[in-house]
Parts: sequence; C-alpha cells; structure tokens
Amino acid sequence: MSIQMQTILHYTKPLKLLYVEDNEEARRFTLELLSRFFDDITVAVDGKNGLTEYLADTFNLIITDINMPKMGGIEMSTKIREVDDKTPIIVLSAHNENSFLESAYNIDINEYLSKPLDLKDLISVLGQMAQDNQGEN
Amino acid sequence: MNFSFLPINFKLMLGFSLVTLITLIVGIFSIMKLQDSTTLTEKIFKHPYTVSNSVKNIHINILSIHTLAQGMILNSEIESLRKKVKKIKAHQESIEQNFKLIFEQYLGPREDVSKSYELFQKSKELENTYFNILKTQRVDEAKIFLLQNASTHMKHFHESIQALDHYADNKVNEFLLQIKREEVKSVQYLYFMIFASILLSIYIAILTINGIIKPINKLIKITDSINSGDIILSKEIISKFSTRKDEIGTLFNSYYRLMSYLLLPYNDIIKSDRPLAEKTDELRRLLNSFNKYVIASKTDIHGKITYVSQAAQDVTGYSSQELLGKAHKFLRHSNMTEETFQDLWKTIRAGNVWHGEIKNRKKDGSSYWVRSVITPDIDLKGNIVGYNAISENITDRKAYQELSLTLESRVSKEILKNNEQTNYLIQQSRLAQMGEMISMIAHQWRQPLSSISAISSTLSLDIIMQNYQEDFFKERLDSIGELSQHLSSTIDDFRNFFKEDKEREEINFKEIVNECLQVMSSTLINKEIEISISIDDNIHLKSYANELKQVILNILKNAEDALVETATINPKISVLGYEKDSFVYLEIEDNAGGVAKSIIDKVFDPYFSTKTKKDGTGLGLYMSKTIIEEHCHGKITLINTTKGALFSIKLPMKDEGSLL
Repeated sequence: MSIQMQTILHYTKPLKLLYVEDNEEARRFTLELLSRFFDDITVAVDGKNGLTEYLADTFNLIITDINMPKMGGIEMSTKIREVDDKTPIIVLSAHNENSFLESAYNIDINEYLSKPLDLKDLISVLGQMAQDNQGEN
Repeated sequence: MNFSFLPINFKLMLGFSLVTLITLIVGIFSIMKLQDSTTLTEKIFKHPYTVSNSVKNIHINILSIHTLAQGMILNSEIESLRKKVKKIKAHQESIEQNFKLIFEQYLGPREDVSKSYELFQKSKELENTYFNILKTQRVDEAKIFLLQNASTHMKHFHESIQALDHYADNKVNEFLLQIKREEVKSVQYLYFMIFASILLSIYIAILTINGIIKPINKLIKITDSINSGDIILSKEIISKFSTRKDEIGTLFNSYYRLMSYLLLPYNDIIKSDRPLAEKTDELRRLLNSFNKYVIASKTDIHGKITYVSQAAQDVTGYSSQELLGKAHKFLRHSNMTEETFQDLWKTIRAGNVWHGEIKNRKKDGSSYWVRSVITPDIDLKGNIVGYNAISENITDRKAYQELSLTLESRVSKEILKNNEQTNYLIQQSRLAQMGEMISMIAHQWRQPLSSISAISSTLSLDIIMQNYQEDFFKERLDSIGELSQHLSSTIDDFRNFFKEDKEREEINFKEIVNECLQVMSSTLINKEIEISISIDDNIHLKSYANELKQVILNILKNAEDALVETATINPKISVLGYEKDSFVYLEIEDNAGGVAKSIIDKVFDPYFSTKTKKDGTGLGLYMSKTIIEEHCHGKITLINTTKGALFSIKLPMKDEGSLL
C-alpha cells in the first residue's frame, strides 16, 4: 500500500459520510467501494431523503448523484448550502447530464466526479482533500 | 269560283277547248243551215217549178193541138190531115212526158194529177173521134163536135191543169216563206251563239288573267319589293302562295326556297323584329368588328396581298399600304419550315381548305403565332381567282404551351428532387432516431456501467490494500458478468429497431407495444413518468413490426418530451390498445396539457418542431404518418383531450394494401 493511500485512509476513515443515490444496484456496489474509505456512511435514496438525513445529523462529507426522483442532487446541495457552506459536497454526474451542471455553477460544489466512477479520480479527489486537511492542521 | 287548285295548263287547255268547241258548233250549225236553205231552194226549183213548167208545156201543147184541130177543118185533105195528126200525136207525146214529170215531182195530192191525166186521156179519145169524123169528110159535123165537145173538155182539162199550176205556185211561195223563216231563225241562233261564244271567251280570258297573270304580277311586285330591300315576306303572302297547288304555287315555293337559302346567312338579322335600316347598321357594325378584330387577308392567285383587315394590320405592325401588293410570304418567320408552305400551296391550289399554325414576323422583328384557315376564292366558273385567309392569334397559347412544357420538365425535376429530399429526410429521421436511441441506450447503460465500474474499483482497491479475498472476488466478478449480459441484451433490444422490415409479418400487438415500453422504461422511470398500460391480449395483425415500433417509440418520446418541457406534476402516459371491426387501435395519451390549437394541424408536417431548444428534427411525426398511412395503410391522428395530447393509430388487421 502506497504512502498516499495510507494518508487518504488516515484522513477518510474517521469522517462521517452522507451518500445519496436513487438506483438500488448502483448504490449497492458504490457503497461497497466507498466503505473501503469510510467507516461511517449514511445512505439516502434521493435528495429529499438526503436533506432529511443531513438536517438530522452532522456530516463531514456529502457524495450525491444528480438525477434523482423527488429531489435532485443539485437542488439538495443548494438547500444544504443555504445553511452550511463548509461541508464538502462531491457530485457524481453522468456525461449526458451537463445541462444539470450548468444550473449548478453558482453553487459552491467542491468536486464533480463523472459517472461511472473512476477509482483514480476518486483517489485523486480524496487525496487532495486529505492534503488540504493536513495543510489546515 | 276558285279553280286555283287546278294546274294552269289544264285550265288553259279547258278554256281553249271550250272556245274551239263553240266555234265548231257555230260553224257546223251554219253549214247545216246553209245546206237546209239550198235543199229548200232546190226543192223550189226542182219540184214546184218543174211542175209549173210542165203545166205550161202542157198548155202550149194543148193550144197547139187545138190550133191544129181547128186547122183541120179548114183543110180537110187527107194528106194535110195525116200531117196534122202526126203533129198532134207528137204534142200528145210531149204532154205525156210532162205528165210523167208532174207525177214524179208534184208535191200535192196525187188524185189531182190523176184527174188531170184522166181528162187528158179523155181528150185523146175525143180527138180520135174528131179525126174519124174528119176522115169521112164530114166537116160540118166536125165543126159542131169541135165546138160542142172539144171546147168544153178543153176548158175542163185546162182548168185541171191550171189547178196543178196553182198548187205548184203556192208550194213555191210556201217554200220561200219557209226559207225566210229558217233564215231568220238561223240568224237568231247564230247571233246567240256568237254572243255566247264571246261571253265565254271573255270569261276564260278573265280567269286566265286572274289565275295566271295576276299572281305573276304579284310575284314580280314581291321581287321588286325584295330588290328594294324589304326582304321579309308577310305570312299572309307566304300562306296564300305556298298553299297553291298549281304552277304558280310551285314557282313561288321554289322561289321562296331559293330566297330562304340565299338569306340563310342573314337569318339572325331577318328574324329579329327590327327595321331593315337597323339591321343594315348592325351588319355594318359586324363588318366593322370583323375588320377590327378578325385577322383576315385576301391574296390574288399568286399570293400577292389584295386586302388586309385592320386586325391583321394591328397584329403585323404593317399598314395596309405597306402590305398590299406584297407576297404573303413577306410576313413569314424564318423559323417556319418550307414543308409547311409547300403543303399549304398544294392544298389551296387544289381548291381545298388548308388550316394550320403559322409563325409570322412583325414589322418590329418580333414574332407571333396564328392558327389560319386558308380557302381558295372561286368565281362562278369554278376558277380559283385568289385566296382568303382568316387567322386567330395564338401567340399567348403558344407561349403558354412552351411555358407548360418547361413547367412540366421543371415539375418532374422538382418531383425527382423532392423524392431525393424525401429519401434524405428518411435518412435524417433515421439518424435522429438513432441519436435518440443512443441517448436511451446511455440511460439504460448508465446504472449497470456504474455498478461495473464500482465493482472493479472496489476490487482494485482491495488489491491495493492487499485485502484480496477469493470468495468475494469471485462473487463480484460474477456480478460483473451478469451486468455485462444485461448491457448486451439492451443493445440487442435497440438493434432490433433498426432492422429493415422486408415483408409484413404476423405481429402480436401487445408484444410490440411492450418492447417499446421496455426500451423507454429506464428513461421514463428516471423522469418519474408514470405509465399505465391496457392492451388486450391476443391481438394479431400483419404489418411491418419495426416500423410500427419506430412510430410507437416516437409518440412515447414526444409525450415524454412534452411532459418534461411543461414540467407536469405527476406526469403520466396512458397506453390503450384494443381491436374493433377488423381494425387495431392504439391510443397514447399524456397529461401535458395538449398541443396549441394554432399548430395542431402542422405537427405531422415535415421539419415542423416545437423543440427549439432541444435537438428536434421535426421529422419524427412526419415519418410516423408516412409509415402508418403509406406503408401500413392505417391512419394516425392527434387530438387534444382534457388532460393533454392523444395520438390515435388505426391499423387494418389484414392489410391488403387497399383498405384505406
């Protein structure tokens, strides 16, 4: 295991994660992947559910899908940003959902990751966040 | 009396025959009367005069005998006696002869003659006695005898003869009187006859004049009045003459027919109840119009122009002076072929009518087309003295013909172009649909791909973190296999849509609709669009499966787009399929509020699209209509319901290609 990986895990393991995804299958396998980095993961099935979970607890990181029934990822993020501008939000977007992203430019989204989720990208983003965190500390 | 029903020649013959007959009768009557007179005269001469003559002869003879007898006394010598007796015998013979005549000719009673003759016989006896006395020379005794007996007897005899003479004289007078009476009667008859004959002749003459001369005069008068312009015969005259059965009637009818024939061209003018002056005026106006509007010309036998109408001058641009005397081909356009004119001349020289189209050149050099009728001008002897041409300006029509020819070729070019364009459209719409398909595939694939990606990431991470667990890896690799299968089947689903339908096939209608919904499902779920499906089982029809799927998919996609665009709350698409009267119906209804009335008629037009912001080609519904109505011989319609738009597709269950 590389030093970078150890640093990332050191950073991510204690974090409380809110993961929002509507598709059951994708949620199952993505959750499995995320569980390698995070020990405490709260799962929400759509934006509305995610917002409820967010308001009920305190999270260190939010990873959300964009296109979801009831409430989309962008709408949810907008509502969260109204009360919280610190908690980092990572949005997972498919290539054909660029139009959704356009409407989200003025919201402070920390990172965009394209779907299907690429491991290198995920490690890169999480590594950056760990590094930032180290710098702050 | 009216004999007009009899032919004139019969009447004339009858009249002259009558006159001739009367003349003949008069003549014969005259001759007969003349003959009667002659007969009577003859009678006068032959009979009474003969008798009278004979009587006179007898007298003379008696007197002679008497004288001789007296002489005997004076000279009683034998020799002298013998001579005198001989003479007396001769006289007696003569008397005998005259009696014979009297017997023959006397017209009075026979007894008278017989009595006289007896007296004569007795006188002969007396004479013989006298002779005998004298023979004996008893002169004195003879004297006494002569005085006593002979004189008395002579007297008797004489008287008897005289009576005959009287009778004869009376008879003559009687005859004369008769002749005179007959003459008077004859003259009277003749006068009467002549008078009657004259009367009859006059009557015949009057009849002739009335029956022949007067009608002829009347006809002459009619002719004169026609000559002076009054060409309409009164019905009275026509009925009076035309009903006559004789030669006058025939003459009039033949004359009337000739006139009707001659006046045939002017019938319209004659029949209108207008004065002749007005008609003449009208005729003049007609001629003016002819001159003004009819392109007409006359040429001599060599084709040299002798007359051109004003219209002809107008169309050619040449004045009459410029054209007169010129050869007609002066106007000919160089484009015209020589054959046309050879045919023209050949036709009209033969005395026939030529018609055809000619291109001529105007004075200003431009051209004009005429349709001409050229007729030979023939004199009374049948010789061609010139040619007449009447033409119709067909320049505009020619231009139109050329234009329409050009148009025709242009239209066919356009049609060809249009066909190419349609093919291009079809191509484009297919491409557009493929784009949509790819988008749908992306939708379908997104989650499985995400899953695969997540699994592979997890497994990679486990290796990185030296956390390899064989069972877990196997399990996850199987999952990847399953997901790949799913991807593969999705591709198959879509690929089916792009298969060309070569022939109609037996289709299960429900399956077709379900396949479409299957393809659409992830998109619809993604967009939270509720689908309600109600399709009757076991509907089968013969049609083009893939084309039909293309249409259904297109309508579903349209509904989806409309629902997304209008951001309808609780979006819903209802699909209803059923069978009725050998037709299959599919109704797809959304609740997006419907199509604006102003454009509802245009939605099936090519290149018509409301999806300005998105990548609508405007061909989807046009192609759907083409497929349903031209390929499948069905019908596709769009109406607005209370909820939204409702597309209805009607398909024949057994499409024979001619049901709609």
